[in-house]
Amino acid sequence: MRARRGMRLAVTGLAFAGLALTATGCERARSGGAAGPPASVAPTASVTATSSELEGVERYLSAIESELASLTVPSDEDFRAAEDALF
Amino acid sequence: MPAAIVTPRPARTAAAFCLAAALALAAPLTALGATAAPQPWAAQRRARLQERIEEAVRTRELKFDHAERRIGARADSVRDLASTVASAGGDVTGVLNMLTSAEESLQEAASIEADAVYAFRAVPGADDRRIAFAAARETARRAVDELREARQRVLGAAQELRRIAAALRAEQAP
Repeated sequence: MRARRGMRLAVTGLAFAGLALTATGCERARSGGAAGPPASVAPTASVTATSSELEGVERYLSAIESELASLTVPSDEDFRAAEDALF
Repeated sequence: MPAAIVTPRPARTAAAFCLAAALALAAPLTALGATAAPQPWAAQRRARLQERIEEAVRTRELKFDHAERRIGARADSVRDLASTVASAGGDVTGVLNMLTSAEESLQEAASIEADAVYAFRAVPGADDRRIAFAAARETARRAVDELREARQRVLGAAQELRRIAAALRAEQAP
């Protein structure tokens, strides 16, 4: 009898603990603070990373521009042999 | 009594041999003639045209697909980079609009190219092959123009995004 009562108490305790954890998780997710450094540290680190990231983006874009500028597209020459067979 | 004309024995043997040889050769030659009857000139010409068009379509498809894939892949890359620039505070609305119209141009180019391929394949069976060929070539030109347009738009988007990124970096410099 006592064991059954203890078991019931344990289950109830676990349920409450679960509810409390879920509520905390929801609150953190809502405030956007679920991951990442504390707000006081983030700005400096973020600016440094973004600056170098932007530099990388510029380099990558430059390479894309070169590739697109030199990309060959089909031309009328593709059908020249067929045209010769026609006339 | 007149002398009987008697063919000498070796001559008779030679004549029999020639006859046999002629018969033996005649049978395969007749069979060959039946299977490889010469095609009329017009049909030969049509077959040659069909063959060359198929060859041209194959080569063209390779080139077109390659260019289309590259432009599409680069549009995706620029879009990814735009999200990085946007997260750093850049306004990339114009860049995204350019990419959207580039993708529309790519789709349009692929659709026109499919029409061109269909038109080229129909040339050998057309009543006036020259007119049909000219029309197909004009459609193919429009497809390439649209492909070039897509390329220019992705290129413009990349240049614009690079300008935005450079301006943001200059703002962040100490």
